Parts: sequence; C-alpha cells; structure tokens
Amino acid sequence: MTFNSIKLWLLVSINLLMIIILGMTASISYHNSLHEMDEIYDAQLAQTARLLWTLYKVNPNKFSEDPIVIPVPTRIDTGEQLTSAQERMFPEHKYESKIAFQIWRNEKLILLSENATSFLAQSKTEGFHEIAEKNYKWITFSLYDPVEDIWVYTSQREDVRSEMSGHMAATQIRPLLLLIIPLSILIYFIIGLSLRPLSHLSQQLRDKKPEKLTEVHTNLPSELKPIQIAINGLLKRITLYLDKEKRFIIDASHELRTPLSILQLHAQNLNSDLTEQEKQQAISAIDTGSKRMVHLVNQLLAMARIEQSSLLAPQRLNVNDLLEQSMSQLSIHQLEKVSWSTKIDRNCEVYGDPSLLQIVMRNLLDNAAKYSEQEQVVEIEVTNAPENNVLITIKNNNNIITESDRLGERFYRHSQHQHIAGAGLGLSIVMMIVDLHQGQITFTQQKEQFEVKIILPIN
Amino acid sequence: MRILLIEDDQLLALGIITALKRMGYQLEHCTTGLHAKQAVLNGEFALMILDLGLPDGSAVPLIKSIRKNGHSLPILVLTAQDQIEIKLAALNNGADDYLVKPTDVREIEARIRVLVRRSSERKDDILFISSLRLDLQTHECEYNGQSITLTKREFLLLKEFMMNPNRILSRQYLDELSYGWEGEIDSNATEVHIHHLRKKLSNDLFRTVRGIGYMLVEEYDV
Repeated sequence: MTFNSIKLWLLVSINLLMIIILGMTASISYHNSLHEMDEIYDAQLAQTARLLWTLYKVNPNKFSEDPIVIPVPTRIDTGEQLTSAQERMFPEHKYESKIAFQIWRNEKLILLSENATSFLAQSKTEGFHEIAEKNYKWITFSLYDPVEDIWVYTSQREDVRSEMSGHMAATQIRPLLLLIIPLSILIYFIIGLSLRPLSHLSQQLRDKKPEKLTEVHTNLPSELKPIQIAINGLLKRITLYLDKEKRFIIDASHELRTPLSILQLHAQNLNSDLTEQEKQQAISAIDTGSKRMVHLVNQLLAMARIEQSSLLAPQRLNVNDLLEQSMSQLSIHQLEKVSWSTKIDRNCEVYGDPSLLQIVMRNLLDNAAKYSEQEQVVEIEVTNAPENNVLITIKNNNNIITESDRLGERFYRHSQHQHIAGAGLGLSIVMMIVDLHQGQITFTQQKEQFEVKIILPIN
Repeated sequence: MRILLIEDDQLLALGIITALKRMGYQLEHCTTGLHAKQAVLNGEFALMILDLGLPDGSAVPLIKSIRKNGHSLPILVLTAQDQIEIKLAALNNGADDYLVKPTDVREIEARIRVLVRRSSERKDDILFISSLRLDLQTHECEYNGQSITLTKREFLLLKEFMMNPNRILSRQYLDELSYGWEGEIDSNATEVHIHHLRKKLSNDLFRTVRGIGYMLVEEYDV
C-alpha cells in the first residue's frame, strides 16, 4: 500500500507506532506486575500454610476425624466500582471466596475452608502447583510434615492476580492512550504548518507566466532547498530555450520577409511601364528572390525534420562512397569553381543515417566551394582516428576571418559574406546532424585557411 | 527631390529604386551605415529610407548620430524586423516613421510624401507659388488656371524650385538631383530642362544667377 499524501502517511504511521509502543508497554507492565503479584501472593500462600500448620501443632488433639469446615462469607459482586474505603465498610471481603485452605492428616481432611470442599485430588508433592477447579485455575502451596503425616494446602484463584495485573497495566497506559487523539491532532497541524512553504511554492509556480519565468524566491526549509534549486535551474533552462526559439522565429521571419519583399516590389514594378532593361532586371530579381525563398524554406524544413528525428536508418557507411555521392549533388558551377584535392583512406566506415550524413557532406563541400576564390584548392582528408572514430577534414582558403564561436548559430552570416547566396542555416544543420550521430565538429581559421574537422564514431 | 536609400540587399534596393524613380524621385543608394553617414554629411537629401539590419551593425546608432549632428532630414525606417522593442528603439532615437517589409511601394511613396510635407510644414501635397500650382500626389501642374503637362525631369526640377522659393539652387545640386551620383552627366541637361520649364510656364519665373545656379522668384515684374 502506498500513501500519496505525506500528511496521511505521517499520521497513520505515527499512530500505528504509538499503538505498537503502547501495546508493548501494556504487555510488559502486565507481565511485570503479574510476576510481582505472583511473588507476593506466593509468599503469602506459603506463609499462610506455615501459620495453619503452626496453629495445628499448638493443639493437634482438637482435630478429629470429622473435619472442621470454616465458613467463607460470600458477597455477590455487583460489578459496582467501590473505593477501598467503601470496600472496608463491609464486615467481609468479596475476595475471601477466592482464597481456600485444607489440612490433611493420615489421608483424612481435618480442616478446610468452605470453598475447598471439592478440592480432593491435591498433589502429594511439596511446593507450588496449579490445579483446575470449577473452571478456575488455582495456585496451590503444599506443606508436608512427615512426622505426623500432615499435608497443609493453601490455594488462591489465579484470576485475582491477572485481574490485578491487568488493572495495573491499564492504569499505566490509560493516560498514554488518551494522549493519542490530541497528539494526532497536533501532529496534523504541525505537518500542515511545515508543509505550508510547499503550498506557497506551488502557488508561485502556478502563477508563473510562460513569458516571464523568473526564479522562485520563497523561504523554504532546508530539506526543500534542493527542489527550489532544481526548479530554478529548470526555469532558467526553459527561459533560455524559449529565448532561443523566439530569436529563431524573429530571424526566420526576417529572412523570409526580405525575399518576399523583393518579389512584391519587382512584381509591382513589372506592372508599370518599364524600359526593356528594367523589365529584365525585375524578372531576374523575382527569379533570384524566389530561389532564395525556396532554398530557405527547404533549409527550415530540413532543420525541423532533423530536430524531431532520432537516427532513422543507421547503417554502416563507407566514407568514400558518402563523399562521392555528396559531391555528385553539387552544382556544376561549384564543382568547377575550385580544384579538389583528396586524401581518403578508402576503408574508413562510419555508422549513421546515409541521407543525413550526405546533407552534412554536401553542405560542407558546398560551403568550401562557395567561400573559396576561383581556382583555389579544397582539401578533403579522411583517416581513422583513435577510439573507433573517423576523422574527416575539409580545408579551404578563405581570407575573411570568421568569428568561429558564432559559426553554426542559426541565421548567422558574416557581414562580408552577405553578397554570397545563403540563409545562414547550412552549418546549423550540419551541427545538428553531427550531434545526432554523437560526433564532434570543430571550426578553425588559421591565417587564410579555414578548416572543418568532424569526428564520427565507427560503431 | 533626392532620397537616400540605405539597404544592404541589392535586389531589394533595385526594386525600390526602380519603383520610386518611376514616381519622380531621385534615389541615391548605399549599403552600409558608414557610407550613409558620409552621404548625409556631404549631400542634401529630402529624406532617408533606412534598413535597420546593416552589414556594419544595427542602424539605430546611425539614426542617433544623425540627430545628434543636428540633421533634421526625415528618416523612414523600412525593415523586416517587426518586434516592438526594435520599433521603439528606432522611433525613440529619432526615426520619423517605421514600415515593415514586405510592403506595397505605393505605401512607401505615400509615407515619403507625408514625411516631406510635414518637414516643410505644409498641410497638403499641393504647392502654390503665385499663380503656379503643383500637386505632388498627382503630378498635376496648373499655371494661370491652365493645365500644363510636364516630363518627369521637369516635374522634379519644378518641385525642387517650388519647395525652395526665392533661394538659389546650385547647378551642381540640380544636376545631382536629376541624374544622381552615377547618372550620365550631360553638362547641358539641367539648362535644357529649365529652358523647357520657362517655355511652358513663364520666362520670368526662373532667374539665372550667373556662375552659381537658378532661383524661382515668387514676385516678379510682368
């Protein structure tokens, strides 16, 4: 059974514990007092037996074959609770019927209490023993005088003792038992009180607006501080994420609006009387603008797809094949612009999604050609790297020093690269895919050489 | 009327220039904030159309520095950014109007007229000099109740004269006005246009100030 409520759980468990402790206390106290009672009453039984024997010895001739029966006054127990003083008002005691005695001489009863008439089968061993008589258990003490063959028996009903021990135990646990209810109520309120910071915290979290996720500041007990810290950490991460998404939407809309603007303006211009040259310019501007939009939309769609996909169809891929396929997807213009120099270990293999890794290679090769001057060399190198990795290096000449920490930021484009077509998403896509493959990518700019290094796992 | 356009996207700039030229405006184009600053210092412009995201950073500091240097030319921001924070930054630092791309070129033209009208403290787009009337919106011209047909260049020149009556406008200024920085310089072009204007309107309306330029006179002897 599980309790979802701390309050209920604490209440039930504390009460259960208290009941167990009380039960144990009662039991121990009952047994202890029963033991003490046994000691006292056993001693009394023995003493009474000796007293009877001494009395007999004073005048043994007083006793004949006809046993003397001592009457026992009986008072019906009304069940009424009386004080000791009230009890003492009576000329007899109700417990007298619970004490009995016999004296035997030569196997014959010579003296007995009225309530011991039926005690015939007494034991012939000296000391204490128990006998069952009239549904009651009796504790009996027997004393033997071998000279005159005298047996003295004194008996007491056992329930007197257990009743008294029970009384004593009850007296001890009754106040504790009474304490349970107020204690439970107190615990209930204390728990409520100590849980109040928690409800305060939840109130604060409930009131948080997604557009303003500030840290939670509330005075929490030290046990709840880690939760507060964790929540604040989470809020911070969410805010960062939301900011990033917001910036992305702003950037994306900015990037979409510019080509849209070009299309609209030039289309409107075409609608008015333009010179033949202006007309051609407008048509070519619309063409370029729409291509820019198509490219941007394709990139955005690719990003969205990659963002929500895990590795779709991972398999073992030969890096050389991968590069050849990616290369064939480049435009003739890009392929012929630069000269390609390759140093490829043909046995290198990686484990990954072929279509995604092709996007990586194509984007990087396309960038290398795009940002190189005419006729320059693009170097591609593929080697095995330590720890079951493959290292792919692509180098190209680039005299514009790029801020490498901003590379891969969505929509980031160097100010001096604005004249080169592109939306600023290619490297972001590359980084996302490499991340998805648990690989690493680094960019370095050394003098006029720009270098991309990708490490991809073989397995 | 010369307008300075600062826009880093060449295709977009080409579209705006083509459209506004057809509507009778003369545009000068630059792509960076730095060039724009120099252009404002050196040339006389009736208005500036400014894109906010420039290759050399945000254009808001540019607006600020133009205002700080005491230039009062109207600034129309034309940008793809529509966040309220950026709008406020531009307007609070001295921009006069804000348009978000993409926008209809007719709206750009209307806003240009409104801004120029306001900066020359007029109530409408109609200029009056004695019995000469020029509607900047429709390009209609009337002289002594007679409708006059003007070519684009003639309209441009007359507009400039009517907006600056009794002021000498230099030959160089008028040349730049109708041909721009890169336009083909025909040394006689401005002279020819003024000659046509004199013929269509009145000879005495335009006074030649030798060695300097021309002036439109409000009160002249018949």
